[in-house]
Amino acid sequence: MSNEVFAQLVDAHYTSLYRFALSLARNSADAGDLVQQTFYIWATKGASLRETAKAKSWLFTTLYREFLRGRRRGGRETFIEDLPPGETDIAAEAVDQVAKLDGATVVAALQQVDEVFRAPLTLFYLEDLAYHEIAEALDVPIGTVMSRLSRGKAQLRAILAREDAGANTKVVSFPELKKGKSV
Amino acid sequence: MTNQEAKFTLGAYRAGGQDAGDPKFAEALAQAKRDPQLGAWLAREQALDALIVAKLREVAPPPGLRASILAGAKASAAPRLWWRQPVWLAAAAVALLLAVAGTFLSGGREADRAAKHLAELAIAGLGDGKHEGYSAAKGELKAWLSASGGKLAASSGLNFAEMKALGCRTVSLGGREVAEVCFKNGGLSFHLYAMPVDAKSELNLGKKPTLVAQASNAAAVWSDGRLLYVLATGAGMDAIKRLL
Repeated sequence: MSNEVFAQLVDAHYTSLYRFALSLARNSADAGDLVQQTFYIWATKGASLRETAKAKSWLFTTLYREFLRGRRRGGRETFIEDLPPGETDIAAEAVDQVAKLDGATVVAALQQVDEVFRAPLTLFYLEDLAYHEIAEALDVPIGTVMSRLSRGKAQLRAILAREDAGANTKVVSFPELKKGKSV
Repeated sequence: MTNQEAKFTLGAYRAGGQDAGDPKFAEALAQAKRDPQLGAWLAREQALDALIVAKLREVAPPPGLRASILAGAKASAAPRLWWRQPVWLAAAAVALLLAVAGTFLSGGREADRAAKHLAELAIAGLGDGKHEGYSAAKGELKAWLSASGGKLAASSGLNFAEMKALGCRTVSLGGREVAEVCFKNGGLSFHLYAMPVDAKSELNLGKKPTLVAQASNAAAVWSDGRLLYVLATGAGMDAIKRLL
């Protein structure tokens, strides 16, 4: 693969891959490393992929596998059986609440979603892959992807609602209290 | 489909409309059109999803990540070995063919050694990116492969013009044409090179194949009086022997 073609591939996908990595790794430095590692693997192995149309799925799959590989060294996996069922109804004010938030707050909320839901949910919101491609990338059945999207959305909305409630609560600092202001 | 089932399915429907043509969603979407309650739910769901998509797009990669990816890949890329590059492969093949021509008369041992070099070159060529476009064997090649139980070296050989027509490429070596056919047989991939030789030519190595194996790669070299053949595969010597 020529340098020019490789650069085109990077330009087409590195932003989405970074956003996906950021939701998984929860910090910018690790997310950047994951993206770089993914393209390194592409440069050494993936470039032989005959169907370039599958490059996008391959990159997301590889990034996710690299994340899991790194994470297996420690930490506990959260299994779907441990978690409560998802809510499918949306509070009418939810749209207005989210509209007020900035991108960083939404990503921070996404990072709080349980990992088992976070990966499919982020891929869904990136809109690069269809549900069946997400299933392929994460190596789970299509029904499981749909179930995780439903539950993940419910979790994310609950977290966003909390963020919104927190933003609307005026926090009175300790020095202000000491100055004798009544609360 | 109940409304609950429809909600479950439509939860995977992207707000950007990318899934509009996917039949998996057709029934649930039609139901949302008919049922005002489900329709209102879908409108809220899509509005919220679209907002989150937009918010996520506000997040930009750190400056320098792109340059770092490109520089990292460039620094890590293994240089292609000169002898794997097609131009050098061709030049080396010419040199070896000339060496065969020059040494054959001096004794069979030299010819055998040169044939082994040719086989090694073909094995080196297995890593050449130009090997694209495998196809099922067809025409005379198919007949040739199935003739005599696939005993290629013992058969009467191929027609060079058809080899060129079937081949994935033809290389000119010192004014001589070498046709290369990339084909699949029994699910395994092979490369067959052929070059015309005169019956009295010093390049007429005879029908007994010279075999060379390197790890899982293998090659055989022989001639039928009209063509010099090199057959190579990454599938091992047994795969070569099954065709000879």
